[in-house]
Amino acid sequence: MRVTVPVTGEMIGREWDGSPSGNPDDPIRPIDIVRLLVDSGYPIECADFSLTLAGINADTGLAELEIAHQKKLIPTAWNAEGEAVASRDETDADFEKRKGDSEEALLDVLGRPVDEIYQKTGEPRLKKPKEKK
Amino acid sequence: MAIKNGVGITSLLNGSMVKKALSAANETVAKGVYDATTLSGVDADLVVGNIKGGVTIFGKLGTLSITPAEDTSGSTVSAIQTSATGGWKKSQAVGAGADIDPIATKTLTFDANSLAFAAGFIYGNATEANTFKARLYMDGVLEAESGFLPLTGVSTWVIGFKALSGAGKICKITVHNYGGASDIRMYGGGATGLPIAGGIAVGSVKA
Repeated sequence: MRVTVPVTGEMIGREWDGSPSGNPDDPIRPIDIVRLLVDSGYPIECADFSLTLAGINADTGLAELEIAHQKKLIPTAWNAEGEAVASRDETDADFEKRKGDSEEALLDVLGRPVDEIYQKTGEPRLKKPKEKK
Repeated sequence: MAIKNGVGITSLLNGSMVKKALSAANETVAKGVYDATTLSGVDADLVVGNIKGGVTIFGKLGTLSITPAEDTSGSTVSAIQTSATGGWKKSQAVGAGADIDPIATKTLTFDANSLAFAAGFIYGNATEANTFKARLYMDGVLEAESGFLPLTGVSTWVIGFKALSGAGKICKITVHNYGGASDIRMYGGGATGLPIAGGIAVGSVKA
């Protein structure tokens, strides 16, 4: 699924295609979606997804993310040190249920006003340099 | 000779027509009278070498061909090493909300119009569920993040694309702990003092 999220961090310039370059010490990144989900009352399992940056608009401070869910590995055997040494894939039914719950949670928390999202995560808006006109 | 009210006149009346000129600065052709010219005489950029191959603009068939070519590339293995106490693995404590930064990093110089690709990986596992995620940064932008690392050792990859140009562009893979203080286990090549199985590879193409 694709979602639009506010970003935080510091922009220090633009690349040749207009995309932003970030400060390595305060990189441009989506707001903490994991924290947003958990603080909104959702279980942390709803935050088990990968994300890829599909596009970022430095003028609006919004990024488009491609969210993907993968089947979990469920440990089935452990060694003497308590390390998992064997596992099985999550069942199709469990995966689809978990994926659906996660997508529903994401649509809820990311559908809120941008101001509310920043206030909930406590992260600042994207810092931008003064650009020449 | 012009005719006005049946009388021939040999000159234009003042104020009735003002000669205009085309400009290379814009595409406007206002109503008026112009001296004969060529469009390429107005704008010297209107040549076949500036027009995409196969496209005709004002009678000029373009010959411009853009062929992507390899720009720069490079890779690095992790500087984190397997430890004596773990044998062929490195068990590392990471605080709540903290990072292992970097797992591996590569800094390169890119052409002025380069498109870069980066792939970072780590072989390891979390010791508690729903804690660690791998991240890929390119030039100070988070391009990709994995799902939570499982409790069983697996290879986790993060990949991304970004336009990059100039010197000192950093691409790196890190691990972030979204949970409470916890250990991550990273595995290596069967002996102590060897790099853990983690690294980053960067490639790029230019127009």
